Amino acid sequence: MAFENDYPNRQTIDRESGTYLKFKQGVNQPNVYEFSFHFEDQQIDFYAEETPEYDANNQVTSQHWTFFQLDIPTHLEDRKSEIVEMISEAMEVYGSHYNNEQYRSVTAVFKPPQIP
Amino acid sequence: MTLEEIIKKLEENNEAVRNGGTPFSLDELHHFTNQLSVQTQDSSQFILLYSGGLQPDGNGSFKSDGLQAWQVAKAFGDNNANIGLVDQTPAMRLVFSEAFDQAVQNTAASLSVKKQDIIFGSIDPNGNRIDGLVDDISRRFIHDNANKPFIMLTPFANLGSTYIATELPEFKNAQGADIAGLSREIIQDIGDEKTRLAIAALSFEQAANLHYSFDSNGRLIGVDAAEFWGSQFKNPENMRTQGGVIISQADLFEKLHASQIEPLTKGAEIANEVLPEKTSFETLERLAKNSGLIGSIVFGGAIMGAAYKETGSIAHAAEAGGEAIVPYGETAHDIYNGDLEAAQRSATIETASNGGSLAGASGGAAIGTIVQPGGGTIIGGFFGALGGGVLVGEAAAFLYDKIDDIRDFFNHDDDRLFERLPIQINDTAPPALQHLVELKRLHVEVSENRQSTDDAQNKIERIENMYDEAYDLYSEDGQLEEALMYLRQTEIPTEQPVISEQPKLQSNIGLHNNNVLSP
Repeated sequence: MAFENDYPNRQTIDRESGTYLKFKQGVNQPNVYEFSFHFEDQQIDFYAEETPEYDANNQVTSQHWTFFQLDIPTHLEDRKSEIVEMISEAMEVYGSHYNNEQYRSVTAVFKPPQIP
Repeated sequence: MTLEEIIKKLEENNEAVRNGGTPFSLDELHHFTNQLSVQTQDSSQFILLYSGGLQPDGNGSFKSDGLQAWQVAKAFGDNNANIGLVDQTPAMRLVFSEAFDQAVQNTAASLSVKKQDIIFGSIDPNGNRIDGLVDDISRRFIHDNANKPFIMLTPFANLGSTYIATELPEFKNAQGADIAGLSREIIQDIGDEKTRLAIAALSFEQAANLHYSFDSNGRLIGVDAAEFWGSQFKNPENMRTQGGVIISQADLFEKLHASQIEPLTKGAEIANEVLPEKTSFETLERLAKNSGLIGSIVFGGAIMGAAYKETGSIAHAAEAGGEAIVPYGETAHDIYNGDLEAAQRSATIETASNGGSLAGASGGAAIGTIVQPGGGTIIGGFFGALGGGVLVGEAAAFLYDKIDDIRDFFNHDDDRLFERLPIQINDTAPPALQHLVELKRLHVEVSENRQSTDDAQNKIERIENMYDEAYDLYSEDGQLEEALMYLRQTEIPTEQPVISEQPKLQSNIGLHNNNVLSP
């Protein structure tokens, strides 16, 4: 997919398919945020934790996202790997607040299920 | 200004910063949060405070990617209007908003500081905490909601957390409803540290009643809290628990490390000292029995302390302590019942790879020395291994109480010792045991090879005198107990065939060489 940041509308979107990513809110835990991924008229909520890299002046140089707890609808369960791939791609374009150009690199990986 | 008005202002500034404008200052960010209320929704009957991890990795830490208290609290808050969370307050909703996060990011970049330090606080080079925006909100939250009871999900909050650094100290600064069942008067009386420990233990016990539902993606989809809330707060949860995997918090706690249980047991002691009614710490008690020797005896101490306080009877306290540590692989039970042989066997297995045992040996040795100067070291060490070295007052009393039983057992055993001794033993055995075995071997040899009745009888008598002298010596200096323990551990058969090879004519023990007879 070809995601791009649409800052005015606060979304990272693949215009061809209409698939997009949105920041939802923070939570009471440092560096953790809630996002939603909108795919084929389904909303898939998930959490993502950012791990910034800083330079000597505490400026963020690179951003690394780890996303987890995907709320994938049952009927899309067999397409999970495809969805994970799309979210990874979207998060890398998202960067932070719909801007990845400020960073040297942005990566995003899915953290597999951690059922206790 | 309302929440919406502030967010609009932030969005405008964020846009300006993108075009080269100046971000808000730190004071301006504080000003925004301070303008908003920290009240929860009107329907909330009580406040839930949360902090820290809930999924131990069994190695003294928590899984970084494991279940966290904030996730459980969020599930509560999303589904139950009676529960008040700081998350629901307008001030915190501002902090969680996209516009605010971006504004803080801009401010942080302009000040060359980290965004999360501005939000959640930081530690300066001297180790002092620098409050973040959330600290200010949390302090006000505790103060302004003091009239509502607080229920805690903070069994393993980090020392640097907002809860411990900011919220907990605030409890004593206002009159109000109870915190985890502790009155404000109690909290003011016992201070922050004991409050922290007591709340952790109380919270731990309450959290053990939670059950979680995870879907196949590992997502927490529901929390069954039917047994979590006190009866006064019971109400329908309407939480999703269908499908997926149901996990109980109590099962997660099974992986706690002994070092994690230790502060909880201290907290349980404190709670039972200060609460008007004795509190049952069933989960903690059970885990203490199963998760490590340190926790076991310490918790036994806690139980005993409570029992002693309740009845004034050390006997009752000892009994309670014994019961508290019973299922600990039966070792403690065996000890309690005076069955050292069985206890030693099971303890050998249970203490394998248990670092606490080594530390405990010295602590136990001290107890042994108190009980029986010099000679009690071995017993003390043995108990110390079981006790993990944390021998608080009542636990020491328990051990002291049981020492007589143990000594009786030894004394009874001593009468049969000569019969039980083998006639050969390897050179890794305690020197005293090697010596006694050597005397036994000589005794058997002379008895079975007597050629001259008088001569043989004289030799036998001299051997027996030697044995008695050695026995008395080793009884006094404690080596006899060590020898007995070794004997049981190795389970040497009491009936040994007479060795046919040429017997050694001189002991290699050294200490009593001069007394060893030549055949």
